[in-house]
Amino acid sequence: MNPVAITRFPPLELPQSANELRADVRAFLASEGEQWSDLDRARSWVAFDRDFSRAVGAKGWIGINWPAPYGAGESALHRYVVQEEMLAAGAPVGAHWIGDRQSGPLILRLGNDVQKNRFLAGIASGDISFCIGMSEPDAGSDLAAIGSRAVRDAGGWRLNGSKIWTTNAQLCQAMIGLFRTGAKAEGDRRDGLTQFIVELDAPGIDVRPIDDINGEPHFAEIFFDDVFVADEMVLGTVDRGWAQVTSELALERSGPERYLSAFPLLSSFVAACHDRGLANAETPDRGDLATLGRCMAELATLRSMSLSVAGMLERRQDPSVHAVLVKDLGAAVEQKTPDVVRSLMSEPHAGLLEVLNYVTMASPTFSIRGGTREILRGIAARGLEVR
Amino acid sequence: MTDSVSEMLLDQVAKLYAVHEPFDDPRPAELPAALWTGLEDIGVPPALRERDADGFGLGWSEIEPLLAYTAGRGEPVPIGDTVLSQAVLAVVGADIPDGPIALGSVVPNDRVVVPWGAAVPHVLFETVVRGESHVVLCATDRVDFRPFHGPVSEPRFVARIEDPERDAMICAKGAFRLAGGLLRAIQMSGALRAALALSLDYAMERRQFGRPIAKFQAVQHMLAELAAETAAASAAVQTACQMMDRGTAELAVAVAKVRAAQAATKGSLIAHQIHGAMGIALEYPLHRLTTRLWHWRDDFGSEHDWAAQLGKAALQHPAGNLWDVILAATDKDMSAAHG
Repeated sequence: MNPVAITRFPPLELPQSANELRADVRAFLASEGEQWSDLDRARSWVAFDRDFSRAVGAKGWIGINWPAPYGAGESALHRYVVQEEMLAAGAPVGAHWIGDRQSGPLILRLGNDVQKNRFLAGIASGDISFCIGMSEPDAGSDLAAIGSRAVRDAGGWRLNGSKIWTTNAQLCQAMIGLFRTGAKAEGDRRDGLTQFIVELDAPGIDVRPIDDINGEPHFAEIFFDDVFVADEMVLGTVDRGWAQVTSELALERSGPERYLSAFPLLSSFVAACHDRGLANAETPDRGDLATLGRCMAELATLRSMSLSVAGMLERRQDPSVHAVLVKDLGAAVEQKTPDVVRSLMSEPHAGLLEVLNYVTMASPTFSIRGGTREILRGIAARGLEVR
Repeated sequence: MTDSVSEMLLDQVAKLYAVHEPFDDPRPAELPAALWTGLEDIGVPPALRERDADGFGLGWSEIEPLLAYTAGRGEPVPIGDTVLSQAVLAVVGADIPDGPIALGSVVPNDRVVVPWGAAVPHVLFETVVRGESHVVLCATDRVDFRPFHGPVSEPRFVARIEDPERDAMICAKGAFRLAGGLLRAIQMSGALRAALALSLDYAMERRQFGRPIAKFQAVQHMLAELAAETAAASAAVQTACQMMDRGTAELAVAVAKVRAAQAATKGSLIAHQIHGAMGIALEYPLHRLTTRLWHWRDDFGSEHDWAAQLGKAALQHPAGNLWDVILAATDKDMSAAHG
């Protein structure tokens, strides 16, 4: 294939029914969100609110594209609309986000009946939250360097080691974790890795929240001390976890959360201008309008690109290189957003300043989590056939 | 009109370019006649005209790949300008002259900047006559052109607009700017993709420190950024074409024009950085792409103007809802709701 083909993102038009669903989601968010402050909205997909997730689950909007009996059997594009409306509104989706986006789909695709029966209904109802057990103290971008091990024991496995930087692990019931089951020294380091579903209340697990620079415990370190996991909790195939993780990352890298993380800040700014009548000012500064407009052009383009990737996933094409381009560009606009708002804010506005502070301090993560900028560009370079 | 007509056109044009001797005069004073005749024989110039106006009735989405492709070839033929000019003239019911037509840009003090000048027989531009928007089709043999510093591969000239009323035809307000802005955005996306391809080839061929420069991580990351910018321009353009075909494209074209211009700024410099000194040599073809990219950014309304228009749309939204404006710029159903 011509390497330049990775720059093609065929446009996707949502079916009418997806936009009808959008109206329902908006009505729901308008009523649920009456009390949310601008700062609440800025936390969005790292904010963990069990009651909200249960309300979303009751609507049938978690796992909306999973087949019956687990979900409503709608298309991935319906799911996309639910997701983007939730994020644009800054809804506190953290308790169901990971399960809906990747843990649930992985279990559906690779899981056995025991796993499906034990977890899927709970994810879809908003009662069971999953976290992602990939990074370790000595294995971040170089994921194949993980050292946490699983060793055979009667009827199952014993886990030892630790995972770190795991979003909201202290609030989750379960993790899909990647552990070394084969020998590390022999052959390809990417062989001999296995994914396990680990319930976090098991004996031997110690979850320690880590405060981040916003002063909030958004992530945690998890220690495994001879933790027993039954054979039936192996996800997929023993020693073949690398390929499973790679496909999981495509789901993690292309969604609307990859360009909307800072969106609530910009939308709060525009709403504040509107509320204070600035929109009707006779001569809004042309340079300021253009600064806002440039940011909007980037956001609108990212929406087209992200939707295009959703279409590729729906058509069962492999969008992994396209997804990294979306994530790289998305992180750039997210990181630029606080600066745009700083330059546009003519007079300090207490509510908005708090949001600005929050997003500024969250902004370094945008080009780190889910794959650093440097890792993404390496994957893009491979897609361009220069690596 | 089916896709097959547009695919057939693109296929024939690609074959024409493949047999055409690349125009290697870096300072073209006249157009390559054989290439132009070939494009006319295939039927490209009227492609965007309605069928009842002797065209193919193609939509923007259908003609976009062809316009992007020809822009990427960087040959000295104003085929994109001519396709749009013919469509505009057909809509206003004017006679359509034979041969290439260049699109001019009006600058202050009643002057118009025109690519090719007297090397093309006609120029089309938009101006205001007694408060109304008009397009003016002007034969270039009665215009006094002076050289205007611009891209060497597509020389520009400036002339005073004399007596515009004589040739003026009323044009729907904003329609010319909208279509012209989309055309330039399409051309930018095509030129960026070609600049990426050229940069990839060069980075694999050029060796320093004993290996192709493409093997250096710093260069790989530049190529990845260039690819991302190219992809962004292309995605914004394709969305705008789709919205244009549905008649709700003001915001979508603004997004495409601004995003393609941003990509042009960043992408051109990356492509030149990868090429080192070779890229700025007139004998090497990169300038055919990058110098046009720089100029196209501000044709039919500057990048800044289009961006300000977007910002204004957000601040003037009746509920101050930014997300609604983003949706209206990218989604046909939401655009209708917004309008």
